[in-house]
Amino acid sequence: MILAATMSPDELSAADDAIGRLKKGDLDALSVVMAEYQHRLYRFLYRLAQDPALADDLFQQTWIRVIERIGRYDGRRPFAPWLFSVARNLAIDTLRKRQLSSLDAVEEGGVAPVELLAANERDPLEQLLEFERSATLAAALQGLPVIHREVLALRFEEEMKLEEISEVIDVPRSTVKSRLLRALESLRGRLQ
Amino acid sequence: MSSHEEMRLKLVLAASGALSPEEGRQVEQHAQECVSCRRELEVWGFYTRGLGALPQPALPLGLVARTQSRILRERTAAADRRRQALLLGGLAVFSWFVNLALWSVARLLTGGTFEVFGMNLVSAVSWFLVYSTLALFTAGVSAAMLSRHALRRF
Amino acid sequence: MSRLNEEIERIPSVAWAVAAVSVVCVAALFWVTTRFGVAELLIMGLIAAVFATYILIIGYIASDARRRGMPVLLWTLLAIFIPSAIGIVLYFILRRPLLRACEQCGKPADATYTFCPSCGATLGDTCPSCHISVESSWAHCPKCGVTLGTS
Repeated sequence: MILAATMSPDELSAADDAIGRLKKGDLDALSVVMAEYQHRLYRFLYRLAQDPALADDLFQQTWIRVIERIGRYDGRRPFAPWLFSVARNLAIDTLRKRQLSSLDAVEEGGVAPVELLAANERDPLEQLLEFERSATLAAALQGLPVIHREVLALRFEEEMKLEEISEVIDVPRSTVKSRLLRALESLRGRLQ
Repeated sequence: MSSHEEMRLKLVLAASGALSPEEGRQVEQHAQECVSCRRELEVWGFYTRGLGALPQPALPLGLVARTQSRILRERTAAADRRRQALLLGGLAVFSWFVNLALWSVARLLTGGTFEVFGMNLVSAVSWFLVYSTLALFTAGVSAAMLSRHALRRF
Repeated sequence: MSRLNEEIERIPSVAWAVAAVSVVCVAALFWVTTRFGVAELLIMGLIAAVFATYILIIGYIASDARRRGMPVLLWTLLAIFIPSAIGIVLYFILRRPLLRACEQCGKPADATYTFCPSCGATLGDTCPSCHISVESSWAHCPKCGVTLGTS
């Protein structure tokens, strides 16, 4: 069972099949699995790393780890949450080594809220309409701490259920909810 | 925290799709009655939809191909390292067997004693002492000589 | 394990001959000095095996050093005369990587070379701008920084 937002039933079983073979040690199946998840995985790592070169390197290292640890993957559970948890842990460890500051703290850089909204008297709702299309939301995301960015990406971009997010970041479901709450409030705080 | 405050928190979760069906209905009902909460819900809806429609990063050129070649390289390097470790371990054991074998032959040839400076060279202790010292000494000298000539040339 | 067989085939026949002779010598030594009881036969077998292996390894080193472009005589002598097979251990630690055959002209070249010294063809991936050797998994050249992109 894999998140099937864009996959046809045929593609679904091909990927499943490849994962099964990968688990048995058939490395040729890796290219199929990689092709299937490359866009989503890279996008997620990019949201965490915020740097294309780092995301590139993390992508490669994630697959190396996947091969090393495929034995620990329970074939009956969905593959995507497991894959994303491997990627996420790798990313967090790497980011932690690069920045000695706490991952809970707001990061340096990112755009100050005042710069994002040109002072105008337009209806706030109309301004928000713009957000859906423009990149100001992405810019505001940059200033959020990693643990907020990850839940937002997993919930709204990867469209994972709370249980799956809980598996990826290894916290209880209630913590996922409270992090989502804090992340969204923090995001809104940066834009208004 | 007042119940309206709690409701405000629930609005965020509702927009995130994180509420149970029961709680979702509660929120819906409340939103129909309370205008400010309905507005809030709409605002959060913009945020959550916006987060699902962010500009997508471009996949770097040849990422999958590069990953595959890196994986291949690392696996062969790891296999080579394992093989080398096994080989050297085996050779270390072999080295001791050579020592033992030469000692046995020396005893056979000398009939059990071979006096040098008042010491029986072919007794176990003196043999292993002398032989090992000699081995380490010549090996050390060779290694030093080789490294001085820059290992690459050899 | 077929890899091991390949390597064993590299041992020159001279080495096999000398090894056989050494086995005979050990047997003769035992014959002359002790009686052939079971224990003695076992020990004799072990000693003969050790000597024969020693000689075969030296034979292998001689042939292997040649194909890696290392000084054959030097290494063979080191392997023979440093006691307790430590010369052999040194060889396997310090040996150079295998020479690569150039794809164009087939002549052997050091594994670290970027261009073939005989015909000038490129061995492996190079940076399009500064021409140093690069790994296929890199996104940028480590010397000049230019983006490397091959799909």
